[in-house]
Amino acid sequence: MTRQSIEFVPFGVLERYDVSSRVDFIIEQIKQDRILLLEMNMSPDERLLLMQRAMEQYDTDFIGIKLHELRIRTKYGGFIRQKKLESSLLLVAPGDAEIIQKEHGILSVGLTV
Amino acid sequence: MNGFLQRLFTKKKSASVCLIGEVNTGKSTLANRISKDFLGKEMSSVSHIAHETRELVKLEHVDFKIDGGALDLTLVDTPGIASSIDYKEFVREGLSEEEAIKRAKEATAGVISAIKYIQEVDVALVLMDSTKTPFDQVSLTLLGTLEMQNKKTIIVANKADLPEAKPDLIKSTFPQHKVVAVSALYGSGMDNLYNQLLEVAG
Repeated sequence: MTRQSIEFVPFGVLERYDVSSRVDFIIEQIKQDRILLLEMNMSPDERLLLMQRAMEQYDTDFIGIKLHELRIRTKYGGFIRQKKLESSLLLVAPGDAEIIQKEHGILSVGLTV
Repeated sequence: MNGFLQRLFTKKKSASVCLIGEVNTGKSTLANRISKDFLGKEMSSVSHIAHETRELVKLEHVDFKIDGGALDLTLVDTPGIASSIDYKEFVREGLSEEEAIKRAKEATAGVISAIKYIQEVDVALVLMDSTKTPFDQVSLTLLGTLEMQNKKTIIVANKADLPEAKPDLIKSTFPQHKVVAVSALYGSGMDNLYNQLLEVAG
C-alpha cells in the first residue's frame, strides 16, 4: 500500500538549488507520491521547464504533474495604518491528482489511491 | 501602374505564426480555418480524443492577403501543452491499453516540441476555450513565458459559438493582451482576428 503525504518545502531548501536542480528535486519528490507545497513561486519559464522535464520522464507510473498557485493575503498593523501583504505558494501534485477550486476559494486536492 | 510597381518591388513581410495552447482548445480547427481561407486546403487532422496533434505541423508561404495588407506567413500548428497526460483517458475513449500508452508517449514528445518551439515564434496565437474559466496553470504559464520573451501575442478565445462561452471573462482576465473571440469551427470572428494579426505581425 502506498502512503501519500503533503510536504511543505521551505524557501531555504529550495534556494539551495539552481533552477535545473530545483526542477529535478521537485519531480523526484512527486514520483514518490508526495504533494509539495513550495514556499517559493516559480517564474513562468521555470514552470514551463518543470512541465517539460515532467514530460521527458513520462511513463505509466509517472504521468506528469499538476500545478496550482496559492495566493496568500495577510493584513497587519492597526486600524488606521493597516497594511496588506501578498505572497504566494506553489502546490505541485502528481499528474493524476484532481485540484479543484471550490466556492469561497476553498481548494480541494483529490488523489486516486 | 504605380500600384503594380509597388507590388513588384515591395517584398511582403514574413512572419512565423504559431498556434499554441492547452489541449482541446481548437488549435488544429483554427489552423484548418486559416489554411482553408488562404490556401483552400486543410493542414491538420482533428479529433474529439485529446492529443490528436502530436507533432508540429508547419505550413510555409501562406499567402495572407486582406484589405489592409499582406504577409508571407509560416503557420505552425503545435501539439496541446499539458503538464500531465493520463493514458487511461484514451482507454476510456475506446483505445486499447497498448494504443493508449503509445498515444500518450507520442503526446509527451509533442508537448516537449511545442515548448521548445516557443523561442522561434514571431507571433503566438494562444488558444483558450471560452467555455472554461481562464485560470488554468498551463495557459498562465504560457502567457507568462511569452511575456518574459517579449513575444507578440494574441489570445484567441475560441468556441465562442457555444451557449456557455464567456469570451468577455477572458478579456477581463487578461486586459494587457489583445483578445479576439472566434468560432474556428464556424468562422465567426475571423475577420477581426486577421486584422489583429496583420496589425501585430505587419
